[in-house]
Amino acid sequence: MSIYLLRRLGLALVTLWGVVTFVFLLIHLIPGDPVESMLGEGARPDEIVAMRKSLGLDLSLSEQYRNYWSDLFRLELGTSFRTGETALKTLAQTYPATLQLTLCSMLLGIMIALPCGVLTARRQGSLFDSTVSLISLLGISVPHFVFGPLLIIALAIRWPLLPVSGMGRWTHLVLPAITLGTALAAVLTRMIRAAMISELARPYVVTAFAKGLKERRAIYLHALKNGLMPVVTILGLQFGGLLAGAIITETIFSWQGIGRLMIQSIQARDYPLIQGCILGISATYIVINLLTDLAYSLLDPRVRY
Amino acid sequence: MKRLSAGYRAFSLTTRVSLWIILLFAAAALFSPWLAPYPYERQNLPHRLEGWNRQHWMGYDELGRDILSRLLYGARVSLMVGVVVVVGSALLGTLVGAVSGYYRGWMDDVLMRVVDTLMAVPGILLAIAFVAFRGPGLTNLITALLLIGWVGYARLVRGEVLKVREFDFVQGVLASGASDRRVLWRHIFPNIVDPLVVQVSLGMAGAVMSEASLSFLGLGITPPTPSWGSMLNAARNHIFEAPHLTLFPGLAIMLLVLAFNFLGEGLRQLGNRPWGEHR
Repeated sequence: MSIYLLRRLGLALVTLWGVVTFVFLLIHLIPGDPVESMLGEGARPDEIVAMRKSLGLDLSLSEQYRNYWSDLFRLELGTSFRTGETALKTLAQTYPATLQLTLCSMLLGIMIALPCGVLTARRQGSLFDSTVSLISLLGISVPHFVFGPLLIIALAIRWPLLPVSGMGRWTHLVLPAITLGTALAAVLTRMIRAAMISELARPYVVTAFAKGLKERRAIYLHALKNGLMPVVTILGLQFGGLLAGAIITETIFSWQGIGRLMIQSIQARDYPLIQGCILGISATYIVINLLTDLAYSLLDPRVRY
Repeated sequence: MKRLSAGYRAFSLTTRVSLWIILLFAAAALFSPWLAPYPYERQNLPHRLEGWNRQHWMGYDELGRDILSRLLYGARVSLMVGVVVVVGSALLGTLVGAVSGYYRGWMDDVLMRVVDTLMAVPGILLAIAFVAFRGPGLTNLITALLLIGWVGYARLVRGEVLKVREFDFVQGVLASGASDRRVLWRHIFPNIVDPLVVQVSLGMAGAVMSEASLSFLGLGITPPTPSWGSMLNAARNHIFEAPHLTLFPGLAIMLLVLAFNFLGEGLRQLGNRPWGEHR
């Protein structure tokens, strides 16, 4: 158990190191001189020199890298070019909105996928099964930026039940959560179905049926508990899909979360803030996956790396 | 040819329909200069945002350009990016995966740690980051998608190679003194083609979707070249008065991605059948 824990923690740390290095190197990916491209064409030479110095870009690459890490440990992610606020503060302001959206979407996705996945596994080959399979494949194939606007056209313009975009009341959350949540449900349904099918074929489930347990009891008490184990891991992995989807969904619905902040920063070439957003999203994903894997190994002691 | 037609006959109806839809889109992409009724950049400002009529089957966009013509040219961008990204990632990933799985040892360890790290972060986020700093455009878009694309193939091929290399016939060929290269490409590779083909079909769906996503965010194809993603992005500002700007490119993406997903799914089911049943 403890060796597994250490290895899993090691992988998370290596990944985190990889992400930080990637984010650090991003500034050097800018074609030409990064400082000149940040300041625009009309910049004076002394401005360029001052900017380069203030960003530490006049140092050698290894010194820059060391400084980047020490800044990171002091939670200094730089200052936004656009607003002059620290990147950390701006991130902290938008982070809860993204968390709210992704968690609601996840809840919605599970609420749809769980019954659908279990029922289709139980009634394999039935009309219900093939219909759900078709819809879920459709759900996987419809990108957020198609489904979102279609929802707006239908539920906010044609039949104005919900607000088009923005934040404020809970009604603003409904359309973006449906956009993200149904896409997640499509993926989850297929996975829960597959997991349940293999679980229902296990001898202990057959025994449960054979000794005359009611179908409900056999499925929900015995098979579901074990069948859902791999789904826990999948949920963690799918959280990445949700975070990535949030970038697009927040843009569509003007939901002021970290994803929209990132796109706005990209458009404004606000590089420190872009880097902060990438770090924030990746770190969230890495931590969530670490936690799900640890939870999984607690739930199922057989798991070894 | 005989095997091809036998394979086609083994397809289910949905798989066949998907194949035809893909071929239809491919034809649209190849022949768009001849099929498109108007040049994709010709503006007709007095008619901007107007709906369909006899001459313009899908209406006009925000600059009065013919939407149908732009969709046809957009198919070209989507499929071109998709093919380049998928072929490139599959080649690179197969090479890495084959080397990793066949030779194992420290190379395998290093390569798989790289794969693990790349898989532990949402791929599209890395692509967005790359393009955000490199700047939009076709080359950077394709580079970004290649950067994240090869990983899946590498892991798949490695797993398959690890499995197949232990088969008796491979061990036999090895014992008879065949070179590594010969064993890998003549004996192991043919046995891992099936899952690879499935992955390629699903990968096309993913690549088309990623291109459209990045273009939607203004990070992909730059104007005036039409891309379905950037068409949808422009349509957002006119969603109230002209929903058809959203509808048609949206349907196009949906249909093409769906077709690739169905094809991949159909191929997978075909591959899952017991040996001999479909040959």
